[in-house]
Amino acid sequence: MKMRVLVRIPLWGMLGCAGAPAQLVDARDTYMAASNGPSADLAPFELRAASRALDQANQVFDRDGDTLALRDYAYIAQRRVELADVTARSEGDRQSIIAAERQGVARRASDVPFVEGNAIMGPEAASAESPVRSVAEERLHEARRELAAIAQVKRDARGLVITINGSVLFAPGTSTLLEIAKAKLDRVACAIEAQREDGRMLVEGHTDNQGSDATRLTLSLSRALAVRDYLVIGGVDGEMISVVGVGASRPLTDNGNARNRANNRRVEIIIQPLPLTRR
Amino acid sequence: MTRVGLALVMAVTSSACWATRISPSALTRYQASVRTAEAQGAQGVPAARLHLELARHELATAEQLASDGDPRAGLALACAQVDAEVSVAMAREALLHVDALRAAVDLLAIQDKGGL
Repeated sequence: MKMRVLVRIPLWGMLGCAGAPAQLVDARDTYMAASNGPSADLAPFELRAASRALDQANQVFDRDGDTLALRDYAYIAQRRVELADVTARSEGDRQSIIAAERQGVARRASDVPFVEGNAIMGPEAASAESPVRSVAEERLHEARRELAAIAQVKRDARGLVITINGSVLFAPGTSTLLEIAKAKLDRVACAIEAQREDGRMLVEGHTDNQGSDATRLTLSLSRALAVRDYLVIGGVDGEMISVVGVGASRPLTDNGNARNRANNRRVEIIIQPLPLTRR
Repeated sequence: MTRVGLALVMAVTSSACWATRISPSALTRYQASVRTAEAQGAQGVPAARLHLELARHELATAEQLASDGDPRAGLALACAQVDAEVSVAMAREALLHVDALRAAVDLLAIQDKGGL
């Protein structure tokens, strides 16, 4: 991109001498400033679109001189540059959010040994070293490995239970998914889709014992719904997902200290096998 | 007028209409962008609202040019489209900027107060 700018400078200089209208001169100047600013790195596609629009305006000027149509082309080019600048600012904000969330999660994780890993795998994992493994088994293993990296996975009477710590998913007291959580849920959605056959899913929200019963129930349900909605966006069939908020009624451990409370704040995704009669 | 002359007039007229008609797909794209801008709260963000108003004004210009048979109608619609896109981007950026500030404040506030 910077190369293109260097090439363009003398050409535009000559065009400027030929009496380019102010709109076209402004569009060129704005583009030059943008291509030497953050847009070059943060909004390369938008800047390329701006470059194409400016090329078009320059060609029209070369061919027809200063016309009403040229002013429209120059206007479009200038707006495309503006679009690149705004997109770059958005991307900068997005990166700030992710960095802040990462630091927050790391901070909370330092108090909570639970957050990642600690997978309790099913019997299939024991055969993971088998030299002969079908493509399907390979895919299943990969999916579980992905899950294990970001959540606790265990099998109990309810089915396969994927537990994600609330501090990874939500800011304290809210049901708004963190940006960093979305990336994790994307991977969860892929892993779920890879290993789920025809079973149903239950998303359960849990809180610690802080606040009133009503607040806890509402918050736990809102969080479960937020996870369900995001999984649906990620391609999981919404018809197969039930949602429940159980508040603080089923803690993993006592709520006596901050660390335990953090462990109790969680979302569980339970993959339930279909009843035998329906198989 | 001979048949040939009539056919010629019709051909010229229809080609002129074709040249100045606003492309339905471009119009649909524009309308989608305006809807997105509104859904993103462009009315509440002064710069985004300004671009939305510009886009609407340019659409009116495009319709007027088309009805006058002016071939610049398509260009006017392209101006409207790009202003609608800028409006969407600005509305989104305003929301993200608030989120970025909030994330920074949350980070400062994480001194593990416990709770929910």
